[in-house]
Amino acid sequence: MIEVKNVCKYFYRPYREPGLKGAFKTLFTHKKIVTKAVDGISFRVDEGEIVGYIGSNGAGKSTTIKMMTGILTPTSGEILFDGKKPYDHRDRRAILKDIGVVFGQRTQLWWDLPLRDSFDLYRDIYEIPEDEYQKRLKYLNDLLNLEPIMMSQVRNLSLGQRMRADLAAAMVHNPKVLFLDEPTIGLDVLVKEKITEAIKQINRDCKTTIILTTHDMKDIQNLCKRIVIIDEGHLLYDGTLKDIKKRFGDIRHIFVLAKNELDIGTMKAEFKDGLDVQKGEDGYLEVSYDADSLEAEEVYKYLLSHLEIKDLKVDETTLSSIVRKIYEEKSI
Amino acid sequence: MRKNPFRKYRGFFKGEFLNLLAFRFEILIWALQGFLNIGVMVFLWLAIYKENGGASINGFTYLQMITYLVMSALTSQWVTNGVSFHEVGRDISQGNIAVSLTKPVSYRGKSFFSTLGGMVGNFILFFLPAFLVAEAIFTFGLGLPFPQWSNLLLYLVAGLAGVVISDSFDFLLAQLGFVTNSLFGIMLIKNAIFSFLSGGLIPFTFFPAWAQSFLSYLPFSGLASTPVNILLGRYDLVSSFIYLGVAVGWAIALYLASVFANRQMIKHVESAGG
Repeated sequence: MIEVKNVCKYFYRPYREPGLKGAFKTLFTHKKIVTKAVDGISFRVDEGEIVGYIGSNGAGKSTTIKMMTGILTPTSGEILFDGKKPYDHRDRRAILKDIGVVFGQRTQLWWDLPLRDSFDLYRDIYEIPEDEYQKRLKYLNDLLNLEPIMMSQVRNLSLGQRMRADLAAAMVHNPKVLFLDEPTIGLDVLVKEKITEAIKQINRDCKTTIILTTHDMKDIQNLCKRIVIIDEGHLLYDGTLKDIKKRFGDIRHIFVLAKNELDIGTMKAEFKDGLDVQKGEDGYLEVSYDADSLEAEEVYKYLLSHLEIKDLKVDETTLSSIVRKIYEEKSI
Repeated sequence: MRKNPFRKYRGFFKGEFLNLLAFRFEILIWALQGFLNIGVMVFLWLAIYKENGGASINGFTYLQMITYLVMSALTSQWVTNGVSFHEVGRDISQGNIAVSLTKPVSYRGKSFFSTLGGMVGNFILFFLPAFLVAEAIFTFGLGLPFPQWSNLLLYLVAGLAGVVISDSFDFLLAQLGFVTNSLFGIMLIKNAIFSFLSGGLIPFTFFPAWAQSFLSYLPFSGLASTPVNILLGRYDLVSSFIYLGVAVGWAIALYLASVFANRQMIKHVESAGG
């Protein structure tokens, strides 16, 4: 469906030296700084998939999305959307009807008019027949509960309402592919859940391929089977969510607060270094072990028999801890 | 496929029209400002003509001068609405051009139809009532002749050419949004220069002879001087058509220039990012 082949995007910015003298110098020199926003990325997205595209700030996520939607032209490499290039002038026309885009930080609704007018506008732009439009509107209305806000001016909507409306506006023409650039940014937990639920539903009902970027690992966990991780313009990981968890092991962390001291060395020796113990600053001992190789029972038994426990917490490896590790180490 | 190419743009037309209704208070203030301007002009020129002993100056009697100024103020109300300048400039400085590229419509077409929507709104809401009131005062109160129907028709055509000229200029000037954020200041400068060069502030006959013919053939004349002079019957049929031709020619040329600018702008956005 979408193929990204060895795509690079470099931005050239004039080099400015600091200070007044530097400002004058810039007028006469043509030194340029190259920013490699995306540097040789390849992956493909198949029909009906939900792909999570993650990376730290400035990793090149938005740039890739912009190239896939045809807003930016790659410096080298190519992107094929059903065999057509989205950034090519002639191809673009054919493709635009097949894609819907939501930029979480921007709205594509008519700011000063009632929401309904924005939908009508998209009906006209995409030349949707009236009966189909009504059906579509009803579907989106049921899915995202738009009825109460249909007649309010967009600028009066809350962020959550606006995001629901934006999502609906991107789906009015029933696109084959939906690009979501940080669709849950700044939303509260409940609204987030509603939005992710709606995205899932759309994917199920309309067989829409969905590509989304987000910083919220919960979104990814709820939505995507497959993730693509990039950093500094390079691809770090492309595969299923399960695989990445397997690769990092199913690590559990037990945090224990106890009255007496524990001999860390003995405990490590007892488990043949199959676990790690660290003392945190808050007094809690952090015991980490791989749930695939050690039974929970053994670990707990040992801890209970050696310590007078005041408090105990358990944490499992989350996607966010994996991702944090990847971001920090810049490799997988 | 090519059933109705305008259908896609109908929404922008309607949207801008509705926008006008949503901001009726703001527009009312602008209209009020227009009336105040006219009021000041009436007394300013009264003083000038009194000083002159009531004779006509440069071919204008006092009453003719007032009709000219009133009509040029009313004309600019619908011909130059600055929607393109405002919207395109804002889109450029806020980086919204990129988002608009994901929609299957031309960006230039979008801004043009927004302008047309605003134009029709202004025409119906402000120009028409004000024009009728003004004409009622001029015809019945001051005993001036009502414009000929043929002139009225030509006036509308010239005004439409003026709309295209103004909108294309706006679009071209809005490209300055790439280098500066102070578009409001640019708009004020633009308005001042345009109202001077278009003959909206004072008729061309007040300029030195060499400037008169020069200015008549510049695109700015299409914004006020040409339509108003046609409306008031100050041009005979032949010169009416000549100046109308000049305006239409400029309208086409400038629109093409704005389409070219649009293409350059999109190229820039595509390679450098919004």
